[in-house]
Amino acid sequence: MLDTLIREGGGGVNTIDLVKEAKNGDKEALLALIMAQQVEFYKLAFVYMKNEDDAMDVLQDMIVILYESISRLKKDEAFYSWSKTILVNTCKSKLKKNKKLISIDEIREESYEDYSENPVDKILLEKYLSTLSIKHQEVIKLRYYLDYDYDTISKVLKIPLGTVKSRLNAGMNKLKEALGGEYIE
Amino acid sequence: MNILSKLDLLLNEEKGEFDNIKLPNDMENRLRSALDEVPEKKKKRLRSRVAAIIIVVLLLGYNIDTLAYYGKQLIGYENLMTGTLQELNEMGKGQLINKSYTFTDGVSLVLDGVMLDDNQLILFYTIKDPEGDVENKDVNIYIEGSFGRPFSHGGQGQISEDGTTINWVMSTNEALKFFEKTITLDLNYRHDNGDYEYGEIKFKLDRNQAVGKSLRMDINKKIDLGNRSLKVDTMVASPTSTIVRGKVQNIFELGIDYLTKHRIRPQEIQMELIADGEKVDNQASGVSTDNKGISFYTRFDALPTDTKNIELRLIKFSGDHDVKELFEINRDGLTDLNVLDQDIRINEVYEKEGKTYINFTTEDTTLLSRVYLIIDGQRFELEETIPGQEEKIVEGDSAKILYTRTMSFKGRGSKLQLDIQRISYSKVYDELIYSYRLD
Repeated sequence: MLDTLIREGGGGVNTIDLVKEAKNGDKEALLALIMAQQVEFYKLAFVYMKNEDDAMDVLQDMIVILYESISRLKKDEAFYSWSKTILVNTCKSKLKKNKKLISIDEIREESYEDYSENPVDKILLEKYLSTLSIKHQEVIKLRYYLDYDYDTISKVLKIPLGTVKSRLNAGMNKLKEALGGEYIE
Repeated sequence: MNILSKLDLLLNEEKGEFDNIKLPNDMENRLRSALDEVPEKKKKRLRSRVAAIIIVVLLLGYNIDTLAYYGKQLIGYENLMTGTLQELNEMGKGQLINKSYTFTDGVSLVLDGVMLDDNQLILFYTIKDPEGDVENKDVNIYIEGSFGRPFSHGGQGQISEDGTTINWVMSTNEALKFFEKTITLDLNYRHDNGDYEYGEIKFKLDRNQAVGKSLRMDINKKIDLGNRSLKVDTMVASPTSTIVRGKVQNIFELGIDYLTKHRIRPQEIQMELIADGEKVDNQASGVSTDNKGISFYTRFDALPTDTKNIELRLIKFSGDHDVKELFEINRDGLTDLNVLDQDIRINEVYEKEGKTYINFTTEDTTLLSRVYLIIDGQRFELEETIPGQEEKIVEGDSAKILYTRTMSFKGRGSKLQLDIQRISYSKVYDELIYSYRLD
């Protein structure tokens, strides 16, 4: 999936030009690059952060990091996989910080749609997914929620293709086992 | 339906949500404003010298279960352990492991030893950075039992004065199964450049070195919570901790709740354990929902060795309750609502710039967790809650705090009905659940 995105965006003169301008310190060029794939970036952040506020926070952090480090990007055409890797790492360090600081006074009235037909199943899935280690969770979510192919996952997470496959297998097996062990049909 | 297809279905459903995800409409502006704050020229970040001794409280294992940790006063490495752990340690209890893993840049993790009892597995390990910057080394561990069964865990760490080592005492939130012999620590290290490196330490548990016997008390006490009951099942006092477990509902009831749409989601069950008149430290608590219903646990420190009398008390119960009712609102004056015994006073209703604002007061622990406004038959989502003021009211020897705030809805009209779907609140019980005399 990212491949197609890279081809769509990365192959065009436009993107390469924007990357060059961004490297020269043009903030609007960098913003344009992100906004060209805003849905992709937002979904990826949401997969890790699970809510809009945190997703937007990490996207803001990400764009600052991109701005500060884009000069070190060697291949201009790799902008999207490079920036998504940075987004994933930003999410992970934010999650780690969140865990140290769990605030209970930030609750306020909220309103949201009932998404799921069956909240009990949804709770179960989340619960079991959440017991897997992050390396297993992330491959499952990228593969199934965002429809990334193995190659894309390997590029964004910077892990070998074989590792993607083995983690996905292991993760799904653990998930099946967890669900199967107690699952009542 | 077999498990695989059920799982596929669930994953697919979740994917559907991602496909239909709504982007925040101010995304571009927020990203722009973040960039605006970056100075054009790069500035080197100064890292303030952190005090030599830091106490870190860490929670691992994603938080579907609500976990609360209460850090203890810690000075010096040994003090990472509670009194009981330290005593056990001095008595030479526990199993020495002494296995380590070294990452490519020289950062290493040494698993010094473990303690195992009927309540938990406690790991004692050290992360080392020869370069003295261990506090910024991002090393995470994941604990896996037999067949890769994952354990969530939490604990405390302390950094040495020269910054080269950090010692951790980490406990699992669950007991190990009797057949679990080989434990794997999955290590996950994020290098400064963002690259991940993975490592592993495997060790075999020696059950002969498990620390002593536990006392298991079957409590089986039901407590009436109005339209619901709380069942405290067991208390297991092990040498390292005391854990109370129970349920709020079983699956059968959960099923009925789901059908009748009157569910209750417990958020916090606060209990107190008293040993010979002294409160025992509350270390952690959690509530989780699964196909077996809603279960909870509270972990206290170990009972002092010479304890004679113990008492367990329920202090407070907080939960989120389904309401799903409409309430008429008087536009020009006060409306008093009583929802599941919770008082809600609507002080004022006004319109501004096409929006309807509702100013109201409840106890500070009461929250309209899902609410809509029906204006002339049309349903509007809550736009935001504008924080307001708190007021302390003293009635006799009990005090409560009232909280006044304002909700805004994007719409206006003449007939107003508040559609309260869910409400969450806390109720103080302070009731004796169980008392026991140990001989």
